[in-house]
Amino acid sequence: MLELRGIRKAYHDGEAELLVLDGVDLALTAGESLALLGASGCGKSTLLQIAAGLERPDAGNVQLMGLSLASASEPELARLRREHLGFVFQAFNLLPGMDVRANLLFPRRLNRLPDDDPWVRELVEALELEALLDRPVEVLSGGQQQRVAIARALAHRPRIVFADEPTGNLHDSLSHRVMALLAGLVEEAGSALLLVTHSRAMAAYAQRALQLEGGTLHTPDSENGVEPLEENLETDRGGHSRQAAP
Amino acid sequence: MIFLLRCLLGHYRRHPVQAVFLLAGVIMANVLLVGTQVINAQSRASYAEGEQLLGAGPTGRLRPTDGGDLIDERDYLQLRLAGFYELAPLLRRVVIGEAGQGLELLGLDGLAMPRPTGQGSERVQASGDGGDYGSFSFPPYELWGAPARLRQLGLAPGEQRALVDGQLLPPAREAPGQTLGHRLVLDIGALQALTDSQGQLSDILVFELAPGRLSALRDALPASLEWVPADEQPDPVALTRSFHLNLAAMGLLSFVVGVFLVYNALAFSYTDRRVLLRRLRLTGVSRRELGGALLLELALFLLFGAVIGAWLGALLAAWLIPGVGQTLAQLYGVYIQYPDALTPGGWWPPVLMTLAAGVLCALFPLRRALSAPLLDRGASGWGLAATAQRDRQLALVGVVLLILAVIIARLVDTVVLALGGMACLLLGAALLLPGVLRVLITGLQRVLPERRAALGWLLADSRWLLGPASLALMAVTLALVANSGLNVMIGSFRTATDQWLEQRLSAQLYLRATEDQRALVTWLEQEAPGAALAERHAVTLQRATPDDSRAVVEVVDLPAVPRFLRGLDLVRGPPDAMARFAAGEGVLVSERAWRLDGWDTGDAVAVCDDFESLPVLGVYHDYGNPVSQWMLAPSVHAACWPSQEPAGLAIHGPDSLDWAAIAAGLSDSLGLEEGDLIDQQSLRGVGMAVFDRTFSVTRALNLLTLIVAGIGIFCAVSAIHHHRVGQQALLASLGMDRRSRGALLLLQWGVLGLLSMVLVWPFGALLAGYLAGVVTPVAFGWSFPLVVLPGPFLALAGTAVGCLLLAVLLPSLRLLGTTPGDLLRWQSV
Repeated sequence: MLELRGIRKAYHDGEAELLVLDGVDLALTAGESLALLGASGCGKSTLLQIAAGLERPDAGNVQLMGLSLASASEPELARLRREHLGFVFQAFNLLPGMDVRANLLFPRRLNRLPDDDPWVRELVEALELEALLDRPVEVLSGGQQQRVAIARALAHRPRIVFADEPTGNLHDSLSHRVMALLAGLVEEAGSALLLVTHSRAMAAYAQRALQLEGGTLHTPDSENGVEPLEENLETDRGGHSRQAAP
Repeated sequence: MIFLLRCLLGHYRRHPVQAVFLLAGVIMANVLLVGTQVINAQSRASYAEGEQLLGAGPTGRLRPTDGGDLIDERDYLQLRLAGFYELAPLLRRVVIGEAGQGLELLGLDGLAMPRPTGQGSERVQASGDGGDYGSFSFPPYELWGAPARLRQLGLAPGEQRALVDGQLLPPAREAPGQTLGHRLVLDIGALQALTDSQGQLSDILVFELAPGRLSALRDALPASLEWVPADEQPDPVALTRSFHLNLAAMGLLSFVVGVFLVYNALAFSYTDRRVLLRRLRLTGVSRRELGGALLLELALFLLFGAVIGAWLGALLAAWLIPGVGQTLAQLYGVYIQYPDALTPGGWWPPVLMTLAAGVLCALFPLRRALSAPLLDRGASGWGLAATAQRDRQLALVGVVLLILAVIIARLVDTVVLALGGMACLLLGAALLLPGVLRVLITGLQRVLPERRAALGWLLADSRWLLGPASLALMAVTLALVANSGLNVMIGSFRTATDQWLEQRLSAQLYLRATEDQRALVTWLEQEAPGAALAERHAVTLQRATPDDSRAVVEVVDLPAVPRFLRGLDLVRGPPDAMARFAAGEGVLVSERAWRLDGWDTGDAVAVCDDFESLPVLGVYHDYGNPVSQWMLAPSVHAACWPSQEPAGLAIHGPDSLDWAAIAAGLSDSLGLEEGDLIDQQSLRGVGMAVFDRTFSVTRALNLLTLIVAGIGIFCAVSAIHHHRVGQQALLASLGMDRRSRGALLLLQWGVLGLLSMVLVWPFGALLAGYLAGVVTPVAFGWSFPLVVLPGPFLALAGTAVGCLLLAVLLPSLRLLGTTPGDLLRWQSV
């Protein structure tokens, strides 16, 4: 479903070059969830953006849903994102001036899918959004906004959900609740999840985790409750086993 | 403090557009205000100096006692022979250059002019070596003009300009430091020869007389001449007050537009730095220190911008002054000095005003930024609820201002009050804009189908956009309302003047008065049966107005011929007014005489000493005349001034006559020269050309104000696009390609522009009505019907929206050219 090979990306500041991705390989299969861990500024968001076709790598290739992003045109990439991908951002990025319902249904309407759909009702119910549907998004709390953002990312049943620090703006207990909802709904939708987080606790909601350090992916150590890479790979081979939330 | 200042200025390194925006606002607030103030200061200085001709100011002049405009040169020579060497002759003539432009020429006798001594002696010389009376007074002569005037005419020193009749003017020479305005000076003998005016003078100038010499001069005067002291000439300051007020109002309008932009730029700057300010306060910087540093930063921007603005304003003034001088000469017959270098006078009050306005603009956003709670999460600062509340408050103030404008319109009696009412109307319209736009967008949201996701986003986002963009849109609206209002006013005035000229120019041909009138009549009787000759007389008097002040009145006669009487359209008066006028039972007065000097129908006026008072029978339009006018039947005029020579002649008759052939025949048989004879249509064309030149400065300032607003919206859009990054990143991630996002951005600004025009249309028409019905009658004494046509409005709407989209295009292309990944990264910075 998603395969990255030899991804290399550097940023330039004057003559100085900051290499953030140095030959990264990554694969994500249908229905799988993967957390990318790493310190701030290590390049994990860049990796997610490259994987989602939002950013072009300096070198390497990305295959997404059978499409090589290096050779895909901008309209092809846009169509791919509109129809098959969902995004959750740290800053929520809701559409101001629109109510919760319009925000939630926005990707469905872009894809000309009907508003009234059992899956939408299920999302609304699971994320407890019924009472908020007619409220403008500006007046919502951070937690409520992120629940709307999750609903919006999943509303058109994307094949892959990309989540970039989805709980970065939320406090601890709310973070766990939101993360559990996200992981549960992604699984229910049959989608794959690529999650970027700096928190090992949040990464534990994914089936497996990788750590980005020095421009390459490593297996994180297990002391914080995340399974080692080898075990993840075992899981890959043996099917999906969701890890319980701590 | 310096460290703090550097820390705060770091924001502009990341957002240079905001710094440019702020500076542009300050500069633009200054440019036109300084420009108009410098022009006004320059004019006031010229008026204070009094009339100066070749460095000498006459203390008075000798004028024909019959109120006419011609003096026999022999009278002057007699007085010189009698020992009055303080006199100098003057001839005033307008000639037509080969390119068709009118050139006002003054003929002077350089040798008769007084010779200033000592330090001032250089004033009588033109620039360069030998530019004294020697080369001025002897062939090939010299044509002296202000350097700016020569540049305006494209006349290089030494160059000779050909006239329409093929004659050549003397070589041009720059004469700086004179109050020549757009007049050109040459030797009187040369001018008499050029214009076939041998033996004729317009004025005899009288220079400083020794004690007792004035009474001797008065005793020696022939009956045809009278002494008029300089202080009895119309006061140019009073005469031109309305003009300069209007000019100042245009400058103030642009200043207000600039202030809107400054406020907008400061609101951006402080709102975007909320997080930085909060962090600085968390590190222990007090509010007072932070406020001080921010004010210091503001002072730097204001000073820098004001100095650049003042410099550009002075350049603008130097560029506009020849046009202003021409307008002043045409409208009021007063002349200002064209500056040879940048004039510092007049620039510092606008600079102080800008500094004060800048500090006032900063107060509200600064207080809001500094008083934000320390644990504020630093949200966008353009929340919908807060901006909606702000818009409601602005709309409320706008409504109050509009009510005030209506009250002023009913009570107005001075130009200052009229302009104040106009300012209320303009500001009221601008302040209503955000609220009206919000209502319109909400209405559109309700009407459009919900499922059109992109369109829904566009409207919803436009409501959000009203937060950061409304001030720039208000500035544009202000400029557009002013532009459309002025255009409608000028268009209506032009139509009224054109129709008025068509009515008033009843005769088919007009001639300069000729000495051989008998030959003319004979020729007409033989060669053009049916054509008739009518004399036109004019006298300038000073009369006491009904409120006991003095006013200059031009008294003219109107031939008692149905064709001429029909051409007079009365503003007010009883139905039998024209019949009674033709019978010599009363006078008609111009609209200016009625509105500004107070003569109304039914009042009795003393036309001349030897004639009984006559009632005012009616009021007629007299556009473009800076002085009041009374119109008499020829019998009354002849009774008052029996020996006065006609100022001009008119030939009229049935339209079926071949008037072109008559004109050609007249010119051939009477040996008339180019300019002696002019047909109705050409004269109408000359009148309209004068009208168009009169408003050329207004049009230029109007256009500049619009450009100011255009630059403002460009800067605002560039600054706003920084806030659009998150939205664009989201739309890109949701699968909207670049073309769709670009189309949406342009459509969004196009919709905002068109919706703004909804307000511009009615308020532009209202402003035009205010200018035509309130300001112009109070300022000039002229009124005219309003002609509101949809065409110019549509053209303005198209141009405005087109310019808006152009202003949006560049920042949008930059935004759209950024990868979604970069957009996301910027958003988190």
